[in-house]
Amino acid sequence: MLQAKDLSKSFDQNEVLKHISLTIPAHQVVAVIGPSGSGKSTFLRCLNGLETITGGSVTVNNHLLQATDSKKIRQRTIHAIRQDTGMVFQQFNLYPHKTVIENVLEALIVVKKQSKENARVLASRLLKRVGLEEKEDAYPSKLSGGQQQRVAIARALAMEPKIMLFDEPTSALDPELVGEVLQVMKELAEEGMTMVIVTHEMKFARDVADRILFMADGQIVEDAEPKVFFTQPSTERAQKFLEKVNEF
Amino acid sequence: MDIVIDNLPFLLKGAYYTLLITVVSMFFGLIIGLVTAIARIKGNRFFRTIARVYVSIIRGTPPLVQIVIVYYGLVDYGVELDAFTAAYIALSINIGAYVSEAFRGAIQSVPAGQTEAALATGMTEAQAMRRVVIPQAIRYAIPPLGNTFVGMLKETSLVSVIAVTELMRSAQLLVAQYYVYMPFYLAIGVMYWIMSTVFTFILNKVEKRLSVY
Repeated sequence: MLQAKDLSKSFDQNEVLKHISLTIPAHQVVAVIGPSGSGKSTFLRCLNGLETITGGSVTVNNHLLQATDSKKIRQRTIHAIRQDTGMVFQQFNLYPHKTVIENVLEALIVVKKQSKENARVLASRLLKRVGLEEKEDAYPSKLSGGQQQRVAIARALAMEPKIMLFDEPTSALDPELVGEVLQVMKELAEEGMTMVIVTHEMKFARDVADRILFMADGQIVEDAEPKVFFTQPSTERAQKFLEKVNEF
Repeated sequence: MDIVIDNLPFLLKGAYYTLLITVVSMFFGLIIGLVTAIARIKGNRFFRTIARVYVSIIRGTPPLVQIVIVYYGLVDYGVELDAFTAAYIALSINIGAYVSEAFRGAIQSVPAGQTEAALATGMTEAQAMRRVVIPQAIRYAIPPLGNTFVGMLKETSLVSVIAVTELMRSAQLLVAQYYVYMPFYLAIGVMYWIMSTVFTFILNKVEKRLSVY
């Protein structure tokens, strides 16, 4: 479903991702964890072309994106990849000038060229699924952070993605609102969605993910099942990280 | 005072032309300004440079000079424009530069996350710009655009030098006829002030309308 080969990313001289290779099969739920500055978010953003990769390749659902491709080919591939991926951001990034349902509708109409009526039916169904059917006509500013993030999930799901990318989806939320977002994500995972989740929610990662990627200094330092990773991490970096996380 | 009231129809006609020139120039200025702003933000090096040089020249030269260049200067090259056309062209080009600065600031104040969210749902850069960024930018742009608009209203008085009978020149003609200054100049001063105030009022309303969210 998703494959990275020798994936590298540099900002000027600064190498943020160093030759990452991995394969994620369909229906797998992958949690990416690690200290800040380790390249987790950059890695995620490379997967759907929000960052330009500077080395190696990414394959998403048979669309091969290579750093060596010409700009034109890259653009076309990235466009295709984005049709198959949904992304949820730390800061929600809902469109503030549109109502909740319009946020969900927008890409259906603009990208998928669906009729307004059809799009509305689908959008309503998705909002119901994330428990916000009563907020359809509200503007995002009237919603709590947790509700906004659920709308953002519905917006991403509207394009019927094959893979969902989550970039620290609960980091900007008040603690009491984290649960409702994680619940929606958990349900998605149970339905078999392929998911890559950058997160600091260790409990969630342990309970929901099939696989943990521990990143440090732009590399995947550990790649293990949650049970193994959280009980017997094999590297010193991971041990230290987990000690710090568990201090509280 | 009577002398003003007697000639009010003539002055009102001048005011009408002032308004017309303002609105027409602003209309084309908005288009020029939007294109220029997008060229400066999203264009390749070639378009960026052209847009930057254009804005720099217009902002760095007096509008009066721009007007006489378009009306008198172009005659040397066989381009003879009637006074109104010259006024529209000169003022549209002039205002476009200022409008582009307002738009540029506004577009840049829309958070990058908005574009990213739109791109992530599969929109192209152009779709993201059109559907997500610009609608938000317009709201940010309204206060500076309002200032530009009112500035334009007053700047139209400059086209009196190329014999366009707008409000300023209407007063000048009346002064030449009656040999009194104050009543006419005072009258048009009041009329400019009323028009500016009404514009500002309308723009405030529009801004409120757009800030429902």
